[in-house]
Amino acid sequence: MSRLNRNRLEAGGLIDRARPLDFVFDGHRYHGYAGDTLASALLANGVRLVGRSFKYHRPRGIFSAGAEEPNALVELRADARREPNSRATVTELFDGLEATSQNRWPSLGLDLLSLNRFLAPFLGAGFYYKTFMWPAAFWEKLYEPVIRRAAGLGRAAREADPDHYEKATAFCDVLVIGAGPAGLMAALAAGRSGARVILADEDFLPGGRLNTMAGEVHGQPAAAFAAHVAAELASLPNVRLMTRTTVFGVYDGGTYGALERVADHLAVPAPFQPRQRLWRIVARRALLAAGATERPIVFGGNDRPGVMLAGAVGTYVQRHAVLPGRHVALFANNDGAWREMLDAAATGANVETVVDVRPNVAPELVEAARARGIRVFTEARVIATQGRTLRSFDVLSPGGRERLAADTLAVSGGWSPCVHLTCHHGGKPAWNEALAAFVPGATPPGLAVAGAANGTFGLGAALREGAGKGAEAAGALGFPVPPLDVPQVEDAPFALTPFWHVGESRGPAFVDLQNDVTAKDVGIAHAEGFRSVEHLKRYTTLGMATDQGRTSNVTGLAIMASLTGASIPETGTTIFRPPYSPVALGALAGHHRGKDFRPVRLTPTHEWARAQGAVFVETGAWLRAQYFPRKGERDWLETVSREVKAVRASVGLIDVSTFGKIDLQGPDAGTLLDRVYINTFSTLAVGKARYGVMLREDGFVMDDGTTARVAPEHYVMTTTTANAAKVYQHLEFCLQVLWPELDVSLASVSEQWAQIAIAGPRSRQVLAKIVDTGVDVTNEGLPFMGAVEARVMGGVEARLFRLSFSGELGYEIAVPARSGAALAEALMQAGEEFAITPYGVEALGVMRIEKGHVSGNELSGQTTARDLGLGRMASTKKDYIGRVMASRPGLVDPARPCLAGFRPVNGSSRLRAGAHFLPLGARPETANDEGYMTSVAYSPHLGHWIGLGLIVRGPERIGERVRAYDPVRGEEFEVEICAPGFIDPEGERLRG
Amino acid sequence: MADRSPHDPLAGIAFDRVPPAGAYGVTGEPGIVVSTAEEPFIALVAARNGFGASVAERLGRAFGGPGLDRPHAGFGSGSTVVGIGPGRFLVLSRAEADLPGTLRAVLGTEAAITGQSDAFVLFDLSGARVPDLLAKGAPVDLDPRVFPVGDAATTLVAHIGATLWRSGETGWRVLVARSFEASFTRFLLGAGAEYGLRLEGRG
Repeated sequence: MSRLNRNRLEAGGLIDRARPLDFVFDGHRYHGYAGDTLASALLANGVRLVGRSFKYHRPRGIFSAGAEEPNALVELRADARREPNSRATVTELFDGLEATSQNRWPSLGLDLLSLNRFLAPFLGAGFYYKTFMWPAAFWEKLYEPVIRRAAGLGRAAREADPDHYEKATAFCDVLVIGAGPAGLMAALAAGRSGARVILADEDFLPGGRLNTMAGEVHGQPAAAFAAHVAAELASLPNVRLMTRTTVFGVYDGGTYGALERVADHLAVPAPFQPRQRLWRIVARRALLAAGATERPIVFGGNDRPGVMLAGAVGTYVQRHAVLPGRHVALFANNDGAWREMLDAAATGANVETVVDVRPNVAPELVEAARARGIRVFTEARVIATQGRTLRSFDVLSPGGRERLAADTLAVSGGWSPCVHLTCHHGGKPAWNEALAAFVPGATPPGLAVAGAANGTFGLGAALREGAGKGAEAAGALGFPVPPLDVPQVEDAPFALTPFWHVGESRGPAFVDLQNDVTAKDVGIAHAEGFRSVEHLKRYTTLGMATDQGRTSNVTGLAIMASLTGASIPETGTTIFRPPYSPVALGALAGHHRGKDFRPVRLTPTHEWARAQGAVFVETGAWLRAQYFPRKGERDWLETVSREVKAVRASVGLIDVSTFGKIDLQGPDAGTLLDRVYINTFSTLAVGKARYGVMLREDGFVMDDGTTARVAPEHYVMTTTTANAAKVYQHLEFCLQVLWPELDVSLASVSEQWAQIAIAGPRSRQVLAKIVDTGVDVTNEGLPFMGAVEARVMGGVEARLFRLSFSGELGYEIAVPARSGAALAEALMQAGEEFAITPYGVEALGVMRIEKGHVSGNELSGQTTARDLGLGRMASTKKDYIGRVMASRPGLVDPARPCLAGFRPVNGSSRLRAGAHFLPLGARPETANDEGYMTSVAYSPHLGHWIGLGLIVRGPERIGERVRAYDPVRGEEFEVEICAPGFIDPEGERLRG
Repeated sequence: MADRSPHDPLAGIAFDRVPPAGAYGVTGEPGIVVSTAEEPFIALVAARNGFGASVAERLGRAFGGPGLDRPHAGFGSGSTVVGIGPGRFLVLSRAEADLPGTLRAVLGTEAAITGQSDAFVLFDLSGARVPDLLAKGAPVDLDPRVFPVGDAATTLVAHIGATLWRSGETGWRVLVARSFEASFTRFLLGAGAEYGLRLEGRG
């Protein structure tokens, strides 16, 4: 198998040669090993061309070995599990992995859209803004589809994701982000103190830099040392080592967002295993040890496959035992990159050339290179590259210009600390001149930074800083921290001369590889006046791709600074927002997808209603019976009309358990009610109920409902279904904040009581059959608005209310929730002789419109009691919430739209809720608007459509005709204003 | 969601029905056992202004536990007192059919009593993986050092209001409003499937 891995070293690396893995890229079968990433396995197989660029469709290879990858984006997996824009460099290889290159057509080798690169002179910065300005009509039909096709990255799966995602919360004393040298030491120091520690790392192998370097730590290979520390951490019961976990955001109160890729390294998750888990980690202290990202130098042809970050070359050689190429050259401005190449050469890479921009390089490095036969160019630069994949490059040095062969050109412009998370509360990174890099500025509360992320680049220093800050975090929380034996490692000198862009470049020199932004584009932005980094970013799109400009931001900024003549700190920097790396929407949704999007509430009679053939409707979180269709009925209207007629002619029943029900107990309950309702309740007799309206502090109606007094110090309030929680909260606010002196206790009893309404002329007869002996439900025993506690169905405790929403004689019967279904059955049986009919919320709605009762459509938060015709209910003898604000001039303006009824003039038009009222003949414009229709229904009682609405001076205009204009549906009709209350306006049915 | 994985524990179960009793998720010894078999009598006790500590103490003496006015569950023989808010307690009793009456006798006029036997479904969760399951829904630190036996929390679990307490080293109780029983059970099955979950019905 290894003979097929032609770029694989015979030995070494952190791969398991005993565990070969098969995978497919663009239809070809390849082989790799456990421990590979997709990128390292492709390189081992000699695959260098892996994608096409976003805008110009230029051939691209593998540029990095980590999360910063701008080029090697592939579609991973197939069909429903297809994931576009997956970074090959962080994709853990698994057996059977399938990947496809993206953004090419028809194939990776021959891409017709790569013609774009010949158009490149016209496609520069601001191209879209300048070119597609006009005609505007072309946008939707032409420009957008064409741009989307050309510029698309991968394709999303079209099928529903078959996998399960979930969310979870974890708590710890110390969260350590990153398991490199600093993070491992920090976790060890804190872990040994007994503190609860979470150590999270996005890699599948903890160790970070220790896994990618040559050399020893504590007398063993660096990677072995990392494994040793990780093993100790895993053995500590108070430490949770979370690999494959990216901490992506810092939120308030020490909360961190993290994504654990539970099963991304498997072809298919194990049975019942979630694919990914979104963690909310609540940490008392946190330490960011996320390392640093290498940045390139910008030069002509720097995007050619084969050009790769120097650290990535080192990673592939040391960690994966892969030679990215046969002829390696280095272009750099710092000593670290030299050492990386010397180590790679010692491990087996054929390093042939080193090009350094600096005139003076440490003599021992130059000697070491020459000793290996490496040609050294100082005060030199790479100005161009050649080949479909890299074949050669041109060097400009004091000795002149020379073309050199290479298939791999390692490049390093220094390192940028991964400060991302430190910016999530608005902190700006600070420029460090010595490092030529941004280091953390103000950090979120509780978050410290250690190691390379803090600009501490030396290995020994990073180990020491990690240990120190880990101990500090645990110590500050009161844990006794035992001293830690930090390995002594020599810190190699860090020498670097800032250098960003080769001015003598031939060919396009890319700053942002993922978004195809060149150095020239930065120049254009500058020439056109975009000097601010925020403008530079938006105009050129630099740093706006999915890699968030990890390898390009600082370089782009430096080039802009050199153009303006300002320093880098003067030029400023953009900051980072969450997420640090992309998070799938599925992970954010977790369990809550499809029908589990949010919890549903089922009524006590849900199963009974289902058995009756109910169609259900979501009303808030509740599922309620909407109507009960019967065989032979053509549509919902026929069903609903039958239900309404049955109620008005005989009797029907409906579950109204969803209304909010609140118990108020205590000597001051009446006082509280007087203050929250516009009308008076303290004078209500025991055994009676009253309709009440409550206002918000701003004078608008908040809710309505009936409240009964069941004992001298005990009231039961009902609220609308929609406002149940809001009203309870309102009452709690009143008692806890406004009037803590009131002696009232609240209890929500919405869940305790099932409540069923029966309505219709036969309802008393039905009720009489289910109450226990001795319960008087006669008109005298239980008059209109009466409320009594009683026993029903042979001993079941109950509350009986004589109330009506339909306008018919009606009762509401409350029993404990578990008896709700039995009550429905008992009522059906008792009502059998009257053909008792179950009805749903649609019929309920029809009847309340016929009766002229307001409901949710009218209680819109924009209406006053006066608007709704309820102004006379308001007591003038007491104060109540909303009273003062309700008397504002604007709210008592006689010209405000007020509640009225409406009927079609021609008798047959279907009315439409939402239609606006205009005077007859008036133009449909805002100035002529007189209000709108709030509710409509077909009234089987009247045989035509009816409506309720709010219209200017409605009650004064009974009999007048207006135009109802519905531009949404393209309809209009003439309506006559009438009194709201189309049925039994005197209320005789209620009291009979 | 017909095309969800065959490993979806909720496949084929109507979203508006309480899932049937049975074994869900990975096979073998279940990491979690859920039972709703016990249906105790329940009442809410709301202390009148200034009587929180006194009511807590009386409840502790009559029904067991230390009698603290804090998020804590005190256990007596066949009864539990759970603090759900300042001066507010849920009393659960297996024996007292007229729980409100008994409470009035114990507390006199110091508290308002409201019967709530039908308002909640009591979930009994046991097994080593219960904390892992609850971590997927509750934003509460359940580490035994932070949340020992007897600690209680009134919070949200998977967007559903719940009161939960640790009734033993591996035993947990969760009270959920009755209308949410189906949704809450679906959450338990979805979150517990990877550990194996046995759901026991109400017999």
